[in-house]
Amino acid sequence: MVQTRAGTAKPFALNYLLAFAPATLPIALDAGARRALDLGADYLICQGIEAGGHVQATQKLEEVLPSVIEEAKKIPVLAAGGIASGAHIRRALRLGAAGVLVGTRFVATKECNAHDEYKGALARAKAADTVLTVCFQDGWTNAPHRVLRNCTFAMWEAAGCPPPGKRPGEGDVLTTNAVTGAKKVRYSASNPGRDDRGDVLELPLYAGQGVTLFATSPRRASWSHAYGRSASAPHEGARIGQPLAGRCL
Amino acid sequence: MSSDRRVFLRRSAAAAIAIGAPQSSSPFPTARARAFMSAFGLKYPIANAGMGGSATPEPAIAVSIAGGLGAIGTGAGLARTPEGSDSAWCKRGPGPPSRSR
Repeated sequence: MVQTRAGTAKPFALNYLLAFAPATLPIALDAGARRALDLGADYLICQGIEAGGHVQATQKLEEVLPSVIEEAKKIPVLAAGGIASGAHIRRALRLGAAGVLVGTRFVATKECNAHDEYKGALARAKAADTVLTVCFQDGWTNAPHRVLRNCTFAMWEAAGCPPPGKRPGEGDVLTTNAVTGAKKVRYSASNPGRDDRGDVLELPLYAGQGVTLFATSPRRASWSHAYGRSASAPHEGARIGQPLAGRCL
Repeated sequence: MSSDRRVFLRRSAAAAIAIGAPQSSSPFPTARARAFMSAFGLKYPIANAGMGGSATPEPAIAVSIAGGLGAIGTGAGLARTPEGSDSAWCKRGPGPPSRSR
């Protein structure tokens, strides 16, 4: 099964014709959803602007979902964006969604490949700590994304959000992968993985607006316990948004 | 058995039937969710997002085992498991349950 976004649906549909079932992420309702349906998608994903990571949506989930469902007719539509609790899932299903797509909440789990410090930052964050920006665009030019405000973002914002080539700290190597040796630089679109070592919290910390609920989530205990044991957790207690600035300025 | 106890049991049974009965006004999960779950063989109408770098085989397998729809992000190849390629890892699976939970 292949899941793709509307902009890239066509090559995927051609390559995987009949062998796989493509589903697409509608960009704008009219263009995206209709194109996906024309290409024979088996289900659609409707993203709201609350979503973390790369965001194509321009409207809140509750505003865009009913019209996408209407357009899709009998094709199932999964709701995405800021979904982090049973109440959110219930509300999406009541609006007519066939299911939900959950991202950020699954990052904050033991199984996820993300770095433990990133998971810890998600657990402490509130929706207001997230920002929709194009700050971390190296690797995916001009693609809007929602991240936690961190010191890379603060530096860039303080400098007046300059374009590539004029950004403060551009080219700084922030992390090195302990297994592969791969390096990640400031403004890279790549988020911190489990084996990255260095200033992991200065890489993009993708997060949706559902993060507010994580602190009270029952499964937090299992992985925050592991986080507490981690030898490389100097940022424990650090609050994303303010104190990190001291480390990079 | 005292009559109080019989009344209690009868009321409890009636309450249990009332709870178990489908609520005609708003069935849950909805018909659309049930259709989606049966089409994809799921226990829950929940999918994980195919997040590049974060959605590696391990969370996809954990979500699938739990009854959701697991997905692997295309960028996840950046974070190959030390044991080998993603596809080899998928074939082998997550190992003993303790590791995947």
